[in-house]
Amino acid sequence: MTVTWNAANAAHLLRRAGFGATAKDVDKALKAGFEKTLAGLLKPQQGKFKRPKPVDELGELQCWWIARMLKSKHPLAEKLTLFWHNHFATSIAKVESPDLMVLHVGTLQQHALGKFQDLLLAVSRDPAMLVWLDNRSNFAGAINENYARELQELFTTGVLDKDGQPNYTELDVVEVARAFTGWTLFEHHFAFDASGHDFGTKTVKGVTGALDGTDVLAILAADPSTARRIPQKLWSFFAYPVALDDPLCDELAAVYVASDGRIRTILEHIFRHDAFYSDTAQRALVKSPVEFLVAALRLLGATLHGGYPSEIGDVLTELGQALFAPPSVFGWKEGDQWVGTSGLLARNTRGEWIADARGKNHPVKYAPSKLLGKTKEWAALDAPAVVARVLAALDTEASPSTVAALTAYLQADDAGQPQPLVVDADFVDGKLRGLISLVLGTPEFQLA
Amino acid sequence: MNVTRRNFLKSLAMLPAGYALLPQGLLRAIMAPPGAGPRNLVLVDLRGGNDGLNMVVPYGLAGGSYYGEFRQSLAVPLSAVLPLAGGIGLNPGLLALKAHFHAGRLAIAQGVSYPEPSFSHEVAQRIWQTGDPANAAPDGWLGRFLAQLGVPSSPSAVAVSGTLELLVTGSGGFVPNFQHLQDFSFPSDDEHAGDKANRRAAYAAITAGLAGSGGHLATMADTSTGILELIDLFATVPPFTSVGTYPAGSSLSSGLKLTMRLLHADIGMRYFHIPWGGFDTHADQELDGFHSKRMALLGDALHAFWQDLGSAGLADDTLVVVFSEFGRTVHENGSGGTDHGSVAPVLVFGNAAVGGLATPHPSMDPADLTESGELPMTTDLRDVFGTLVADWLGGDAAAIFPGHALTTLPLLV
Repeated sequence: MTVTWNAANAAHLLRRAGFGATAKDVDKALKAGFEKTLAGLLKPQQGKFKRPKPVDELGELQCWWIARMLKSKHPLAEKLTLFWHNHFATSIAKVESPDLMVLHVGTLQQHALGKFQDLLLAVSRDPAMLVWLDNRSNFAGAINENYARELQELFTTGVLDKDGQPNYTELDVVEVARAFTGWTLFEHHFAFDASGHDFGTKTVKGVTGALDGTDVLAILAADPSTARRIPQKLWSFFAYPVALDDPLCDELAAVYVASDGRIRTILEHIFRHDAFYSDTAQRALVKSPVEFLVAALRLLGATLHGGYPSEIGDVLTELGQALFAPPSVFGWKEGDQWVGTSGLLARNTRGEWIADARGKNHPVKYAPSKLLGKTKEWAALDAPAVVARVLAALDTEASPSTVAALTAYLQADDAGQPQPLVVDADFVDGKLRGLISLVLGTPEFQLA
Repeated sequence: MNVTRRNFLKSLAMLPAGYALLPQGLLRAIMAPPGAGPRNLVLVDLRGGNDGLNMVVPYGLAGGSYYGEFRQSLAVPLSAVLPLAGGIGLNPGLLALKAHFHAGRLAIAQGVSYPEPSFSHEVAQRIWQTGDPANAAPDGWLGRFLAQLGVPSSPSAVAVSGTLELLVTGSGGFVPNFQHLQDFSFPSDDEHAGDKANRRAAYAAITAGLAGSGGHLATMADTSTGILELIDLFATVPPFTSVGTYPAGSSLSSGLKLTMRLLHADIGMRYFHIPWGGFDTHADQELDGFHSKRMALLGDALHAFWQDLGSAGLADDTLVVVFSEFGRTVHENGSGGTDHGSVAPVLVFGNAAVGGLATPHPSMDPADLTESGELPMTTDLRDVFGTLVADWLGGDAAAIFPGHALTTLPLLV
């Protein structure tokens, strides 16, 4: 499979593997070529996971992660961490400790591109997860099924296999719970409490023995349903939604098996795939709220002031994706679910909030004029040219009717009457902001 | 969009031929006797699997309760249970509902589930919303009822939720999902207020241009069009002054207040789905009275809502139904919590409800438990919702719950 390395495909790859492709990003990728760009994206994260300064409120945590996504030199690692945050959806609402939530995201990031089984083990021993799904209080003779059930239902095999047959029984839930007895917390760290572990014989997926949690994770990670479902979810997140019984998943499952569940190998396969660059994939996903926010800020060249954490928290809540606080262990629902009434309304409201950001007391800072190029070129710009520049800067492929509506908007005075457009300072602080606000609210901008 | 349901009905009355298109049941609902307005239904959805045994407590069933033996640390103390009838009582947090039960306004269907229940939140939530135990229906049972009504000129149902909800999904037109009325205004730049109308006109043109384009764009365009219409509609909604006292800091309270304001406004919105989370109590269920406090938040909010309905003259026309995707294990677990179970009670509350225990509680005898240790089901959820569809909403229950022979339950006066 040879990838045609043109601007459209380069922008598509950068958009999916990160948070929106600026013209500069695309130029750089075109100059570097496909192989070097892909290698750069898949490169292991350099250095240790940098924790934020101690934080005591959710908004500060959220600001910290949004800022990472905005500035990261490893956008794919951040994007993938976001994927795992939805897969292993864990919320501060029950965990309560911001510190443990940071550690949790660190765990996800550390293993984001590694072997799935290693990620599973790290998550199973992660203090936030031990609190979130109650395994800290799962002991021999007094089991708690919560982790055992969600581990199978959500984290590995799923409820049903590709043919619609159940992947596990209620007895499996009990047996897996027994294997994880004694995996608990001591002073906020993982601890194995041998006195609380059930050393008896268990049977999981046809394997019988004195299984413990690590054994169970090996069994579940190697299960054919896991081998199919994890790459299916990755494909659906990065390319376009596919069902478990789609033949494409046969191929993806084979990659999972051959690579021993290495996420990096699966991603490389996805990013080299013809179908990834097909019309089915291009602009076929709905941006998540976090992608909406980060892409809007990145494409505008905006900076985010960390001094208003609770406002950023409000923005994420209104958009429908409060990081560190997914609504339940299922995580957030994706696709059209992101853009129901309240989600789409919030994208308009917060799009305007970004576009019309002015002054020191606003968390967002950017210069609308930068979207129009050099000042001396302004005089030559007519309304269609301004619309074209703003759409390009915001990486938006607008339909002709949208372009016409935006062009008419630029030329309408306060009475709604058409007037010749003059690009000057007033225009830049007025109509241009209005144009940006409208574009951020268009259905087209919501697509990735 | 400015056609209210009432006006719509008036216009319908001038077009007698239109009646022929409506199913008999709908006709009955619409032609309700004077004094009885169009009927409203509010569905409170306790997400996470509410512990039904600690909500409607089988403390003294004839033939042996066993409740205290199953729930050694979590049992509601006998001294605290609020007795209703037949050895069944309420969680003390539901004190506000006890009087309603005795006054004949609270019907309780017990042991509600469906064949081969799922212990997965996701699957079970889908089944309670679709009303399809095979989990194959692509739409919600209320959504299918809305489709029977036909596409209205303005939305008749609302998901009081940040996300779309399956329960109200169907081919019955745009069903908005939102939690706050104040969000509905078209955003504009304070420093260029004169440009607001232009921005809005441009947005309207954009969404109109994308209608019918297919895929996500068309879906979003439809939603955007709906948003613009709601912005205008909600600008006309008058404030409503509550006479009831809703518990503070609960999203159920705010959801019910929003519902009340929209019902009072009489803008054709009659069917409300209010999901309310926080019931997945695997550990420390009663630490600091956690679950009992949630019961109080529920009971007090419902009572306040009923008082408000009364002051708005809507108490005879509105029913509230409380359900959850499953109950919890009969046995408590080792962490002071309960794991995923199956059967659970459903509450039907309002002046039009008939007070009492509408269906029997399952036997608590350990010998009668199912293979996986669950209480046997006594009531099919399709009979609960089917009775409401047929006798309250006037819909065609057989078409909404295909393949199910409806047993009408004594839930309604």
